Amino acid sequence: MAWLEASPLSVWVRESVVGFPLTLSLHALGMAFLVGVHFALDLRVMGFAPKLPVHLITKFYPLMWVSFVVALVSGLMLLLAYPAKGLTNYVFYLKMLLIASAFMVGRSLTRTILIPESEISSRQKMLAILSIMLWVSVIVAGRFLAYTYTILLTTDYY
Amino acid sequence: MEEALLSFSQNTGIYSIMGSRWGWPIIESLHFFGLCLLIGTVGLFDLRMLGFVKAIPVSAMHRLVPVGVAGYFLNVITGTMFFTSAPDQYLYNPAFQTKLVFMAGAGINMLFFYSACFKTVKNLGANQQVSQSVKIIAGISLLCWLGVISAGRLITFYRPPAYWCFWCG
Repeated sequence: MAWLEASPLSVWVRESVVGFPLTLSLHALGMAFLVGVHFALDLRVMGFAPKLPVHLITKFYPLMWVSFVVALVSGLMLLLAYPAKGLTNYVFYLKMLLIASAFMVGRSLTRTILIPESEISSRQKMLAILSIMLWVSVIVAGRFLAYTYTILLTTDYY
Repeated sequence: MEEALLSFSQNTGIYSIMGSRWGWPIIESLHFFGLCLLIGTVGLFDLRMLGFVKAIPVSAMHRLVPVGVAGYFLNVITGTMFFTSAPDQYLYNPAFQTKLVFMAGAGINMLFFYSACFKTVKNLGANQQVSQSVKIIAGISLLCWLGVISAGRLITFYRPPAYWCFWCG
């Protein structure tokens, strides 16, 4: 852990003028479009904007995947900056589990809407509500990470 | 100014919510939820006007916007809760001031869009395009909201003493 904290990229994210603010902003922007595109599909399946062809929302998925990569890379950089802070906090692992679950729910919902059907089933609506709840849980876990850590750094650089 | 904002927070009970053990992160989570609703609806509508996923009818895409407006009001409420509970962390904070500029930009742009352009947009169907000038307005909207998010995220990064803000006087 100590050598990770001492690695040049870790020090750069933590201590340079632009490193941390840039990484934080990118993580927020990535989240906005990653979760936003999922929300758009979920809202449509729940009955909002009924004239919006539901399968066409998946055309925004390339944007969603790019946003995911931005959030993932910036998230890894935040983790690299303070590896002990995240890895010693069970909320971090909970967040990872919630992200995986949210993606799995999104995947099973996407698979069913690609089959042309006139009516949206109640099962699909349940999946959409579950998807929103899971993404909100991801957000809550992410926010709580900043308030529940016990170790900031294993070595003292300040 | 600081005292007035703080006493508003204290008199309305907001201050005790924000000061409770998990009050601040819970309200922050709601603020992020509102942000994602806004980007998932208004953001995607802007992208459609800019020419993404032309197969989606513009008029149908716009029907998601009211949900984004709900997200916006959620964030005005939660944002006011942060701002009035720790006004000294916001008033002199360059990230917060930058965020306000982007919010004003988004607001003025939105008023102009609905008063001058919306009638030419609201009935457009699949594979139809908005005019070049409306595309510019959609681009300004998107950039302003990205600016709001970026600057907003940096508010907690800069916890400035008042003298940091050289234009605050």
